[in-house]
Amino acid sequence: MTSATHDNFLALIRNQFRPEDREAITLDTDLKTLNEWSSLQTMIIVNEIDKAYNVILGFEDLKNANTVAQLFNIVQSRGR
Amino acid sequence: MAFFSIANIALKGISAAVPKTVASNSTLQGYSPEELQKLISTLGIQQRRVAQAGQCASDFCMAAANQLINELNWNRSEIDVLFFVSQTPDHTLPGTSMYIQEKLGLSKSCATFDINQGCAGYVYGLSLITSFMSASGLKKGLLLVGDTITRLISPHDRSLLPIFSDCGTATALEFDKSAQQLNFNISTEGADYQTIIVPEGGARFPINQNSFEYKQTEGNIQRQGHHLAMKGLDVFNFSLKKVTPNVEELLLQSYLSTSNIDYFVFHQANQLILEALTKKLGLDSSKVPSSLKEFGNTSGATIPLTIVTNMSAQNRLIKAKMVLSGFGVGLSLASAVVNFNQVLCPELIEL
Repeated sequence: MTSATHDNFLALIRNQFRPEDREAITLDTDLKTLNEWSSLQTMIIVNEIDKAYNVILGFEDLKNANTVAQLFNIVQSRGR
Repeated sequence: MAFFSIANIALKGISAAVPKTVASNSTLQGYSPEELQKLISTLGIQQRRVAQAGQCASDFCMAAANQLINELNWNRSEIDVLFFVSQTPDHTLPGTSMYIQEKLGLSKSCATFDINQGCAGYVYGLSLITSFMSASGLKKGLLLVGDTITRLISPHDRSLLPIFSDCGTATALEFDKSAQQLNFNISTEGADYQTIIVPEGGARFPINQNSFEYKQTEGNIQRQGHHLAMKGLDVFNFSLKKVTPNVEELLLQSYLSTSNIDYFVFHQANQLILEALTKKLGLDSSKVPSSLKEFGNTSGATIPLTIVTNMSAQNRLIKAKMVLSGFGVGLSLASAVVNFNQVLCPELIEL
C-alpha cells in the first residue's frame, strides 16, 4: 500500500478525468466544479483511493472537502 | 453478529424469468458518447430488462416456479410452504404470497409468507425458509424472490435509470437428512435506513397531492415523492467496508477458506463493487460470476439470476460449494455458504 503524497495523490485524481482536462487540475481545484463531476465519478475516485491507500471515503468527506488538497488531508489523516 | 447453521434442507432447483423487453444503456438520452462509454464500463451494465405494464414481480416468479415444479416433477399438493420476497408486491395488502398460492395451484394447507427485502433478500429468504422447514419438518418449499424495481424509478433520474432491471426467480427446497448444513451470517445497519428509500406511499408519509411534484436534487436528478432515492456513494461505501468482513467471518465460523469455495455469487450491484470485493477477498475472478452486462441490477433476484445465466448452459445439474452474499437496502447484509448437490438449473425464461 502506497503512502499518500501530494504528487501521487494529485496524479491519481488527474487520471480519473479526461486527458484534456487533467493538467488544469491542481491541489487547489474544487472537484465539484468540474464538468465531469458526477455520482459515478465520485464512486470511481473513492474506489481508486481505496485501492491505492486503503482509505474508504464517505459522502460527507467528499462534501466537506472543497479542494484536492483538503481531500488529500483526509486521506493522509486516515492512512496507515 | 447473527451467525447460524441450518441442517436437513437441500436445494433442489433454481430458475429465473425476465421481461422480454430489453433497454440498452448505449442509447440512453442526455449523455455524451464519452459519458455513456464511461458509465457502461464502470457499471458493467450494457442492457437491462424492463417489465411492461401489467407485468408484476409475482408473474416472473410464478413463471420460474412453474418451470421448476414441472421439471422437478413435483406434485403441487406436496408443497407445504411458500415465501415471496419482494419490495414490489402486487398490492399494499393482501400479501402477494396468497395470490401466488392460488395461481400456482398449491394446496390450501400451504403456509405462505411475504417478506419485504431487497438486495440481500435472496439470502434473507433462504435463511427464513430453510429455518422454517428445518424446525417444522415440512417436506417441500418454494422461495420466490423478485422485483420490478424499474417501476419505482423516476424517468428523470440519471443516476438510477442505467442500473436497475426486473426479474423473478424460484428456488425449490426439500427436507433431506443427508443434506449438508447451510451457514448464514446476517447483519443489519438500521441507522442507515434512508440510504435507499421510497420516501412516500407508506403509512408514515402517505401519498398526497405534493407527492406528484418533481423535485430537483443534486446531479440534475428529478424525482417525485414515490420514486426510489438512493445515496449511491453511501451504498458504495457500505459495500466496500462491510461485505468483506461479513464473508470472512462466515468462512471463519464455517471452518472454511476461500480456496474451499467454488463460486462467490455476490449481489450484482455494479461492476466496480464486484471488482472491489473480488480484490479485497483475494479471489480469482473466474470464481466470481456476473450477470451485470446483460441484466443489470435486479435487486433481490441478482444472485439466483446470476446462477441461472452462468450455469444452466454448462450443466443443468449444479454441483458446487458456493458463498452467496447480498447487501443493500435496509441497510442489510446477508451471506451464506450453500452446498449445491445436483441442483436443477433450467434455462432462463423470457416473458
